[in-house]
Amino acid sequence: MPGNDNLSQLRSELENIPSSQQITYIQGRLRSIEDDHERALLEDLFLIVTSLSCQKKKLVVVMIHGIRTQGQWQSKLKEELNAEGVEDVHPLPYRFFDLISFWTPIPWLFRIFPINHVLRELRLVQSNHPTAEIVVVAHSFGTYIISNILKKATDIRVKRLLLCGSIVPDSYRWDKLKFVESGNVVNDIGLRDFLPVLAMTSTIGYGATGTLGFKTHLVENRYHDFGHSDFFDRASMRKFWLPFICSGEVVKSPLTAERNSPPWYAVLFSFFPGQLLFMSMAATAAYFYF
Amino acid sequence: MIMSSTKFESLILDFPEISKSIEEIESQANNVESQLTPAYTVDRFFERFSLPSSQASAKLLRRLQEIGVLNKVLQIESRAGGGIEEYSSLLDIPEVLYDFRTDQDFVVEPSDIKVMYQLVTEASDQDING
Repeated sequence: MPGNDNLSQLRSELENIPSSQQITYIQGRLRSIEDDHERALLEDLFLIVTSLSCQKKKLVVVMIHGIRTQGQWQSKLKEELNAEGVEDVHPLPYRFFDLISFWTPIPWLFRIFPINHVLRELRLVQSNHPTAEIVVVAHSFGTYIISNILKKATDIRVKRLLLCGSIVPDSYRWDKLKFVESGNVVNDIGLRDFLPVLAMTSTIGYGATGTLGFKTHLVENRYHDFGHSDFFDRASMRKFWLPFICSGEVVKSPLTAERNSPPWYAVLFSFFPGQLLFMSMAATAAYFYF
Repeated sequence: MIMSSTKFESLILDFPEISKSIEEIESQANNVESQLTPAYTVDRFFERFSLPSSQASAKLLRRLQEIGVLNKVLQIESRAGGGIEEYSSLLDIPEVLYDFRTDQDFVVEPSDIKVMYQLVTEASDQDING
């Protein structure tokens, strides 16, 4: 915003002043202007210019894949984001995670390893880009990993979070996360995605939010006619993901308003979370033992 | 609330290069009926009303505040995330502020300030004036 001498002078003076002393300095400069209108105009100009340059904060995107994959979709998304001018796009891979490790209901036995690994990687990204805004894109088991990280590692700063094929439990406390405001967490739901329901009913610790959605206004549920891994089509990434990742814009999916009720089997299974399965197995075993 | 259109007519005469943006702001101001008027961040406000990044836009925002159509809100944000305190001018911001989110005092820096603009409605105007 060129053309105002007072503003140019003030901004140039601030370059030599430590940021901790800048507010006091600006206040002194503003008070030295006698004309009320001129003073208020300089204040507005300064605030607008500062805010608009903050808007150009560096964006770093990290991606976390699901189980039994190396997350090939991440390369596609990286290409799409690079084409949009977002250069820092980092897949956060972890070792191949098999179905048994995924299913084993004792979290510290297997699940903790990818969580700790991704947390270390995320901290590294954050320390390499201390002033950047971090956007996380997570699929399937990746949603479980990031939800556990955000719950425990309060030093992790995330600007926006995009979930798809989520297996995070519906009881997850989004309200306890500092970065969460309405609109900066999007949950992309596949109406043909049965796997989150299966994950929830077959073991403990998972939820069916990738099929049924979260029941909180803090998360924007967005519905698609997709199966569990159909989110990675380039056209869909361009239409729905890039606007959210780059600027926080949530492009509505027509199915969100026009969808029918969830499939009956998904609702039915959602009444039987994994804990019940284990309790009934234990009860059956006890019955036969005694 | 129907804002006096003469206010906006004079703005259009003063800033003809951004007349479309002014009409859009007028239309939005006239359509806001709820007390819960949206607060726009600077970049969102510029984007929403297609304002160019020019001095004329800054002068327009100043005039809108002077005629009571727009309120400026300076929200001080905790470094742990979330707002702490709100002010209407840079001159009111204290050097050191207590952050109840981290239970620590901190020296306020320009990057801690989130600037927002809010269209004034009849309801919120009455609140302001008691």
